Amino acid sequence: MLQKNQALPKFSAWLLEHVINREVRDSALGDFEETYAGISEQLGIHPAKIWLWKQILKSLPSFLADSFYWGGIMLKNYFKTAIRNLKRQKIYSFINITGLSVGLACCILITLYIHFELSYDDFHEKGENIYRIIEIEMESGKQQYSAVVPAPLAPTLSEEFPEIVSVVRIFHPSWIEKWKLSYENKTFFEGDVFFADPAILDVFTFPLVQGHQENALVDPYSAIITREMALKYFGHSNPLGKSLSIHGVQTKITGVIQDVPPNSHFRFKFLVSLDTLESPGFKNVVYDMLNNWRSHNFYSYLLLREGISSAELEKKFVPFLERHFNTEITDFDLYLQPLKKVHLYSNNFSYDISTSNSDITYVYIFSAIAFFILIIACINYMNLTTARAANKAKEVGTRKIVGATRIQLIQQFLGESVILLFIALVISFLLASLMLPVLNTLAGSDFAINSENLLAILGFLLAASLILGFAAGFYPALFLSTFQPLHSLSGKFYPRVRRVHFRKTLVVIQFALSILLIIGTLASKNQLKYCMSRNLGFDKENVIGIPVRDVRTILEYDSVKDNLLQYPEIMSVGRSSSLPGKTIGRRGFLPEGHEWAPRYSMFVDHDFIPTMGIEIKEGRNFSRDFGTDVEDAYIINEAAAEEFGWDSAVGKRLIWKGDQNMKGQVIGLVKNFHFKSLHQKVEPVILHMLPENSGFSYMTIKIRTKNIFYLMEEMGNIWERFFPGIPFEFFFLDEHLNRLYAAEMRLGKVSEIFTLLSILIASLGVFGLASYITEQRTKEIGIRKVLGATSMSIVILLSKEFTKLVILANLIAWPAAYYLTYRWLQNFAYRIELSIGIFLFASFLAVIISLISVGYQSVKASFIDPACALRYE
Amino acid sequence: MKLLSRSEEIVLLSIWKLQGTAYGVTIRKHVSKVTGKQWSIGAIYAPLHRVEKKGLVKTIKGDPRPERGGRSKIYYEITSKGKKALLKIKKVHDSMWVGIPSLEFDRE
Repeated sequence: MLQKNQALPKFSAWLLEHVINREVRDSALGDFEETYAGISEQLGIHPAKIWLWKQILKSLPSFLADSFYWGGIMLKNYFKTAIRNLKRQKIYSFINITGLSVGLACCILITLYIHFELSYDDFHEKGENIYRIIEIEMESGKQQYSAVVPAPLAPTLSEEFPEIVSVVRIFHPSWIEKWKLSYENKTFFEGDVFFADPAILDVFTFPLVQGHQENALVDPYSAIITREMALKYFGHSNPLGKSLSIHGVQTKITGVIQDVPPNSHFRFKFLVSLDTLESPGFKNVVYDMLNNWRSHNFYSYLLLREGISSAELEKKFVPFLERHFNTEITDFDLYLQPLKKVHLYSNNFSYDISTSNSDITYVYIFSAIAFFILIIACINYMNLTTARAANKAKEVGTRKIVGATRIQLIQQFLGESVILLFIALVISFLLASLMLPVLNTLAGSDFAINSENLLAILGFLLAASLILGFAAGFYPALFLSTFQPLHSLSGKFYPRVRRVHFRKTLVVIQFALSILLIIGTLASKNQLKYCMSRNLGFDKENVIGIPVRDVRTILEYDSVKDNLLQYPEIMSVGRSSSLPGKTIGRRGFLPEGHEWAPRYSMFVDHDFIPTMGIEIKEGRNFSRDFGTDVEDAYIINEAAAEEFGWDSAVGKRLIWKGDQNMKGQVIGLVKNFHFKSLHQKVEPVILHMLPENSGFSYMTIKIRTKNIFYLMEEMGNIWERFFPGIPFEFFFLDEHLNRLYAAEMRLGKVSEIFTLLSILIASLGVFGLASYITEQRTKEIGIRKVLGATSMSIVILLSKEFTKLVILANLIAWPAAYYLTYRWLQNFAYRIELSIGIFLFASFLAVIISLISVGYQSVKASFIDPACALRYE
Repeated sequence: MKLLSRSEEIVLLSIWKLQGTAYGVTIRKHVSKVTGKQWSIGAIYAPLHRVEKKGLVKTIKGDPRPERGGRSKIYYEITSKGKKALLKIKKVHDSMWVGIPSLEFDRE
């Protein structure tokens, strides 16, 4: 009798069973058993075990190679059948591959975008421990976030809290758009001039190409420039030690750095040591800001010690804040914003260092779009594959009869879907590279497939192909492999009702997603149109703004103005400290019956209000007839009157706490005008006059001409005559204001493309499915025609079914679309009402598209000769 | 038809030699004896599987045996196609050896 210990140990038996090819498994395992039993009988159990493991180790490579060899032969067969199937059914293959590759291409592009957005500021080696100080202020019941803090704040914090390793302050005033820079006879206006503590080179990672990191920014009057700028100003000569004039102050170039990467939230071209600001040359820029706790103008970054929690540290700040900010503002807090969050989570901060900050919402929106498109493409694949089930039934039956197991069939079909996907992947990669430039032009972006994100893309593609191949291929594979050979070979195979329902559900989902995208796109388009056409309370057309950056322009303003007014095309010329859409400053005001508080204010001259076409509701404009207007007259807007609770504003008292207290009274009330984008409500603003010839930032010119080029040239000539060497810069107010919605415009354009593509994919799928269903019903159509049905009634019969599905899809999509667009519109203080029109239009579009996709097939079917139809099969 | 590989030839010849008693264990024993080195079970089955797939041998299932864990012995028998393949490779060997100078080492 066989003893128990003579059987193969369980684990080795299991291992061998899984390694040895099915076809020789019994035979080979038997050999193992027999030899093992023989040895253990003669020499005992232990030598037998040793023999067994030696044998297994020696045999393993051969068995594995054998398995793979024959597995590979089978794979070749699967591959062959897959390719044959693709070739035989050209339309299906075309639709499938097109749908998948377009869908994947969209996803690649969106991945590029998301990868870029998420990669912001991740090149800083110490990034994990860098935080930006943000002020949170309670203002009319709302939390206001601001990225600028007083200059002494960060160093004082660093002195009092040992958790802080070092601090970096950056000065980049938003009210100075450009600085005048010159080297020898070259003069340019540059915007990207930043003043910073020397620690910036240590805390952040900006490697120097030339110069020494330790001392490059330590001394006052030293500056670092980027490679690009070094080339621009100094050509190919060595910039180190050269003297560059910035705002009229001579600075020495002590270093050159690589150009700042595009995914840095602040991008400087010139970095000047902060101490340089102490120079008298900058007095008219910084005044007393450097030591003032009440002037919030510096961006400040902290490097915390490893392992310090920013939330814990924030709590410790409370007594510190009470000590240093005990005066006017009580409701005031600091928030330490992690560096990685700056780009995507600073959307509603006022006075931000970056103008290109995005919003995490957009990352979510685009991720959702990519996901939707992928689902739509997947559904296409599933639908078409299961729809073709009847054609495949014979193949499955035959394979089963010859001995294929279900697992093998599933493997085969999964393999087929992976092959198809692979073809689609290659095409999608090509498509994406082709579409990239188009997308870049439309979105004003600068994405490229490069070595950095190639890995992310390849990773994405690999993951996508595996997930998609399985997700989309699994259901068809499971479904197809269940066929009974008897049924499928007898030709009596028809899909069961449940399967049809499942396919219809998929079509509904597909259309619901497309409709969702259509509604979203339409709503955002309408909102944008609204933003650009809303009456802003002033004339934005035919107004030219000229930024003023040089003291000479200020001094000679009057003569320039007189010269300009010689032209009949120029109607009026005004000046101001700010313009709608530009940064507007806040100054301390004490209105009668209220507390002191910082409020928006603008310096203007007599001509500003008429030039801009701002309407005066009560009282009068500033007038030359009243000499004292310069000192004691104020004009407020309706929002201000409302906030102060003044029924009749004219005559009310107002004190401006500037260098000294300027007491005055309100002489006029203007209608509300939008000095910020429509994202924000119109806030109270106070207009007052600057003393003659002192600083203003913009000239505003109202024109009336058809020949704008001629006029601009003339104005350029006048400018050149008065201010030789100062570049003539100007902008059209309406264009400038439209730029406030750049992010939305980008979103709109890009989502338009993706919506179109998703509709294309979905309609391709419906087209394929319709053609299949029509084919299935050929006989039925033949009989109907014999019995007297007209072509028309057949078209209606076939289209009705799909139309029903699309209408059902609408019902699902509407509430979701309403909710999502409603949420998005909350970003705007002034927004469109979501009209039913948008929804109806989207539905109409979806129905039309589905009818077109189905229509071709059904018309074709309706013209069929009944004789042929009945002989079909 | 491609020529047999060396391991296929060895396995086929062993099956022919064993004449009806050829199954995994005996084949391995014979091959190891003739070649003078121990062949692993895996090393036997790779060529065995190949010649089976090529139709050079056919299998005959024996009765289940307790010493084989309840599995049957699978006997291998050469088909006529297998014989042809063996003859062909022999012819190749023979013609290759014709006129080859002696390889015997000189005695010293």
